[in-house]
Amino acid sequence: MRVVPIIPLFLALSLPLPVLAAGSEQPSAKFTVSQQTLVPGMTLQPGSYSIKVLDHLQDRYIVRIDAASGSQHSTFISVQDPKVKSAGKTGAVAWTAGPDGASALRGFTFGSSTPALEFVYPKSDAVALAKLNDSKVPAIDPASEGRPAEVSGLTKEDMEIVTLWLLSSSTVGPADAAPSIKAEKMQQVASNKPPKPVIDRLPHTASALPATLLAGLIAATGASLLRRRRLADRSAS
Amino acid sequence: MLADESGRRAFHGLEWLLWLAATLCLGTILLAAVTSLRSRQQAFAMSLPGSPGAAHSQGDTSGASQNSASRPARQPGDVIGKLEIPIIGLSVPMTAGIESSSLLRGVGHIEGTAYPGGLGTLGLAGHRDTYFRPLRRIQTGMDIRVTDASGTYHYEVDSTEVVSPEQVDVLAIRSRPELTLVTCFPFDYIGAAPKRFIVHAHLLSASPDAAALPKGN
Repeated sequence: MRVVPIIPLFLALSLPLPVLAAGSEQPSAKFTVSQQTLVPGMTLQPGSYSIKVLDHLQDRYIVRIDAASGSQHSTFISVQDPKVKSAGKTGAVAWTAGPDGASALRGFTFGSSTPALEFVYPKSDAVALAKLNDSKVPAIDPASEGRPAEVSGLTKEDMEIVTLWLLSSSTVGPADAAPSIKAEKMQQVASNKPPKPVIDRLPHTASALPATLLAGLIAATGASLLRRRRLADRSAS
Repeated sequence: MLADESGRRAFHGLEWLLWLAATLCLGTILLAAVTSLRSRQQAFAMSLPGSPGAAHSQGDTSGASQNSASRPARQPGDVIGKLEIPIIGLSVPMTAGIESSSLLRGVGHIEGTAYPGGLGTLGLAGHRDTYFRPLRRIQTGMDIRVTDASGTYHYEVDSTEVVSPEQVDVLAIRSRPELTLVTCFPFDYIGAAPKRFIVHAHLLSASPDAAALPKGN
């Protein structure tokens, strides 16, 4: 698959002001957006924002974006992306195209101190991004695992164990002519507990209708025979 | 003479009892048929033009319309979609949950499994002697269509197997989004069948309404 070069968001957004928090264990930075920009869980309005890595598991990072004004925030999952080269810079990285003509952030680079992070989008947004960009889009679908559908409704535990997927544009059908969105699970780290089975036992799936029908027919036949005998007795007497 | 009279009355009483039993049994069947018909009408309505299920196209890139968060709250037994396997003539409503009331109206969505088109394993269970009776003819490569409020998704049959009821790992999330159909086995068993017949299929496109057909169709 052809990999489209990633466009640093420096061009779509006003010049960011990357500031790595000095002395902080988890990397953080500030950036500015000049137009509506999609990130997992919300759409950023033009303004200044801060981004901070809250937690780091083996296969994922928990990241939080806050508006400088305090009016908006979103906490979501990111993954390391070796394809995103930070080149020592700090700043947002955008997808080539976002849904409905808006911008969409692909990830963030924190200079050379931390691997570049790629944001994980909810399925619906990830499908839209996969259609528009010739690259694999990390995605989650917590509703399909019995968890809250909205990113804002996910707990820390949800974010730690929800299954990560990669969506990409593909083709299917007899002549591989029909466009499709292919989904494949990202490799799960052994330390992450796999989701528990949703039920203890497969459901019992035999209805009582055939037996009810049989009982009804037997009863009707018996009643008919008794009726015939009663009428025969009556006519005989 | 008196014994004859009392015997005649007993037979007469038995006759009416049998008529009553027959009426109740056949009435239950009729009620189930009407319930099934209504469920089918609701499921059919989801695929009509202008309905939520028909509102999406392959070119739709907004994403918002496919958001599982937009799915309305549902109660057990609610009709939430439709399952079709055209090649074996199966077209049944899909209901929320696997309670008796749900399985009377259609095939039930096993709670906690993926939604249609979802990233995970979608689990559907149905009665082997009613809605899922045609499953005995299913074969690898067949096209399965699942429609809900977010659109129509295509799955392609990979395999079938017979398992014990404790083998719930047939619903586990695998390397790609899948569909697992569950029904009792053997199909002709009278009473509570000891095994489960499982159909495994995989999702062709995470985007709804793709004109995607598996190679076998």
